[in-house]
Amino acid sequence: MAGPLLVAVAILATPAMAEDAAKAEDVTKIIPDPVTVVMPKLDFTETEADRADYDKYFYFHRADTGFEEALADLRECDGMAKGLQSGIQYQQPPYPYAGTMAGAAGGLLGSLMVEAIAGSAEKRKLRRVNMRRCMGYKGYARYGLQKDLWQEFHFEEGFSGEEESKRQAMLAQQAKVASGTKPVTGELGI
Amino acid sequence: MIARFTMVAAAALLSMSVPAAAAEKAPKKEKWATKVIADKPRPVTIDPTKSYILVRSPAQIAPVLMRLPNAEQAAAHEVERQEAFARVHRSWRKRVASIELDAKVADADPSKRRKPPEPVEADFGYPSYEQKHTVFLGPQNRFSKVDGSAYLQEVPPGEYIFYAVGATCACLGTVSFDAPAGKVVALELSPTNNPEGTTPFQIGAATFADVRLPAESVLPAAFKPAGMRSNWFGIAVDRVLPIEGVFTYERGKQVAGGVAAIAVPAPEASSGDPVAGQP
Repeated sequence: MAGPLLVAVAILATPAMAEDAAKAEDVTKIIPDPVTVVMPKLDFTETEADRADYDKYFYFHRADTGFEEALADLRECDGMAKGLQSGIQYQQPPYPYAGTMAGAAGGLLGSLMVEAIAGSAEKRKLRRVNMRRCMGYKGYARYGLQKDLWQEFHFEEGFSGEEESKRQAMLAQQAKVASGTKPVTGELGI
Repeated sequence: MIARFTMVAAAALLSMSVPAAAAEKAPKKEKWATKVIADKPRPVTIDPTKSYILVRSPAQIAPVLMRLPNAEQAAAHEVERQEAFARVHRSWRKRVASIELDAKVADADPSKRRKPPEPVEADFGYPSYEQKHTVFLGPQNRFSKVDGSAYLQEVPPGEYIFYAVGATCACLGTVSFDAPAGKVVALELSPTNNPEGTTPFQIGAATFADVRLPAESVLPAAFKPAGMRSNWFGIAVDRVLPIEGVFTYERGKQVAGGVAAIAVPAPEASSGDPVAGQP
């Protein structure tokens, strides 16, 4: 059993990951001025194919919600969706040192088991489901979007994650949309 | 001689690295053990120093509970975390020293060697107290199969949260309950499947009678709202449904008091159907 764990620790302990994590620490706390956040394009001519993909490609909006509040909600749900809150550093250490064998065994085993059971596509799906539940419970309505437009300010994460600064920039755009003008298209439900 | 010197040096290093709080008073290591009480014909002997949690469900399930720390346990856990960080930091110092030594031997510029970043305590990923005090029940080893499934587990006394069933956690809102020594705390739990795709958990206090358990020892669980919990295992997230008189949700956050307590004025509630007036 120690073999796979050691391999996992070695994989997680790459310097590149450590550097990314070090950068991530700062960007996750920054609250950008909403004026500087580019409002993404949301209008498009809907087709049947678009409607068929609304379970994957969507955005959130809630009335009477400010940018900062929406960003906090999105960040919280993003953490929940991915399992990124406090414990995740134990499961996916931001630098080599968090992977101490005694403490990390359980978390690593859990992560490896989940990854072994669920493929990358399943992980992406799980993230979508978790975001929808978390934001839905917070009272945000969901609206469909065309895939190309969606990709401009959203990310999907399977086995590989997006760089944290890009994730945060996209979350800020999502917050701008979530706290902006109420969409005229129909709500999709959780 | 060399071995002895190494040991002395290691001890000195350790004493420098252990935080002051840990050095002053090392709390006693907490014993953590739980035990499944399986379906056997003989009566259960209640250990007055232990607690017992009984989870009833219409189907076979795999609930996950976690113990919450009291102030003393939280302090001890913090000391353990600091000690673990000190060990990690010590390893980092050794690694950097080794890289610098290698560079020196190779007559290279040490600053050009790639060194691992220094560990930062604020980011140190050490498992929470709850993660280290997790209770896994079911789906096998039921205590009773009458009218569904009942799981019985002997645990150390304390306050517990309901965390998950299988691969779905109640991370978006859960409850805690006390498990006193010498008692069996009974709760009813059933995952639901809503048409819109959510799978919240219905949880409530349970009554439970079984000839193998002393009737006076069985208590229905008394719940308290326990808020959101980290998705420590990276699984699906959902939440516990509101409990009347205990808590409800407003924009995803738990609010103490139940649906009925907010919706039903006191005089009408006391004179009529207690269920009337609920949304």
